[in-house]
Amino acid sequence: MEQATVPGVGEVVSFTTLHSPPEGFKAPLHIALIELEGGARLFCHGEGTQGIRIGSSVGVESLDNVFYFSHMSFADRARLFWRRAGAGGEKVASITKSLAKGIWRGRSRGDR
Amino acid sequence: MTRFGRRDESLPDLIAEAGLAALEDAGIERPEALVVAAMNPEEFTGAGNYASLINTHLGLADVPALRVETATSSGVAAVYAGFAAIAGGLHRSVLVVGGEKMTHLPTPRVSEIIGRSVDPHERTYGTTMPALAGLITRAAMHSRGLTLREMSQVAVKNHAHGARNPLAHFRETVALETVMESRLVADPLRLYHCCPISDGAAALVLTAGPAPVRIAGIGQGMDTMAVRYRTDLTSFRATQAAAHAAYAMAGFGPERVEVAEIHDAFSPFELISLEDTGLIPSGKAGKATLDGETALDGRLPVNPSGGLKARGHPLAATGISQIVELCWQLRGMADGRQVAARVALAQSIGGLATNNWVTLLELRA
Repeated sequence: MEQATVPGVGEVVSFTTLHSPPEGFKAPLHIALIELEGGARLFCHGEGTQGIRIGSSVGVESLDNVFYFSHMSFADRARLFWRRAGAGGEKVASITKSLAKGIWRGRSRGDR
Repeated sequence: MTRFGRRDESLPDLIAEAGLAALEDAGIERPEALVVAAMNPEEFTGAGNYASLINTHLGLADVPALRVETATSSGVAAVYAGFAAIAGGLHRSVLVVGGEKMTHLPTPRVSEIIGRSVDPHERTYGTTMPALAGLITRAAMHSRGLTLREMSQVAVKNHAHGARNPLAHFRETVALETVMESRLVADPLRLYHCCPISDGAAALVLTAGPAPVRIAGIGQGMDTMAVRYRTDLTSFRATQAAAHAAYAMAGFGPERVEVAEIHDAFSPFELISLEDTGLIPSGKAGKATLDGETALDGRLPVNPSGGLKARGHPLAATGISQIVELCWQLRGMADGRQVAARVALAQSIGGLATNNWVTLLELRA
């Protein structure tokens, strides 16, 4: 097996909002199954599912070994396109990291 | 089988009620072997060494006994173990019993115990069975055009059937609007799309000699425990493999099946399973349900007992109770909900479709 690095972006395979989560989780619990470049699939938590559809592109970040998906704004998508057109995955990861940190601190969604 | 629902009796007592009734019906006092299906009596009731506990409780302490578990399909897995022993010439009669006692615990605790069937990594994201079923349902709505109305009609139909079954957990009918507007459990699944938590037990006697019904085929199919490793979320490979194996053993296909019991733990699963077993062509199960084809008076009655939704779902009893219902249907003993059939199919799902079974039954001439 070889380790590979993929950008922190994925496609939504499916998602749900669980209104009766198990002990240790708060309701409503937003869960999505995200497919990364290359086909690996991850379960992720998220802040919400408004605007998310099956097939949507979302940012994926890992914080404390837990994966989160985040909705990408139009500006984020544009930045992502130009980054991927040129450089590697690092800059993309930093975009999604800042998105995820914003959500973590409870910042409202900016320019979406 | 016992009445399913909230029961005061202990699990061994429920199993004894079903087991002794089955022995009496078969005219057998002592089977040569016993197989016990119980999904998790350890956590639900604090009991262990379950095969021995049950054979002692039945007064059959020197009858060789096995306990079988394959998550929510444990019941039919136990039937398979008995079937294989007879087919292998090891025993001439086997009593198969299965049961679960669940309603005495708070729902979150029950959910946690059932959640043991989910992949450990996925469980760390809070993916309970309803959550995974919700994810699968949304994917099916997207890629197969499954609608809220279609999956809700499954629940309406099964409640209508349960109303005619004195042993069912729920005996009230329910309106389509009630189902469609019930509160969300795991978006898009709603309360009335999810089967209940029930107590109960069911039993069968299998014999090498002639009996009113024969097991024409029995097949098992598997899939990855982790849902994220699957290529297709909207159909169950485990059911397809199990159906293929059962039809191969029986030497006939779905066209001969006239009545079916299908594992509707979540209403959309009935639609998916009807297609996975080849009973209804791909993409057509929803419309067939809306058109009444799977109602008691339809072309292919599905879940005449009320299914998991209305008959109830005491986990390890369910797979056996499906076969009990179909035997009663084939033998003309299903008072109030009788259909005309000579060939029947039972389909059981273990976990989130990791260990599934299809059984084909035929009335002996």
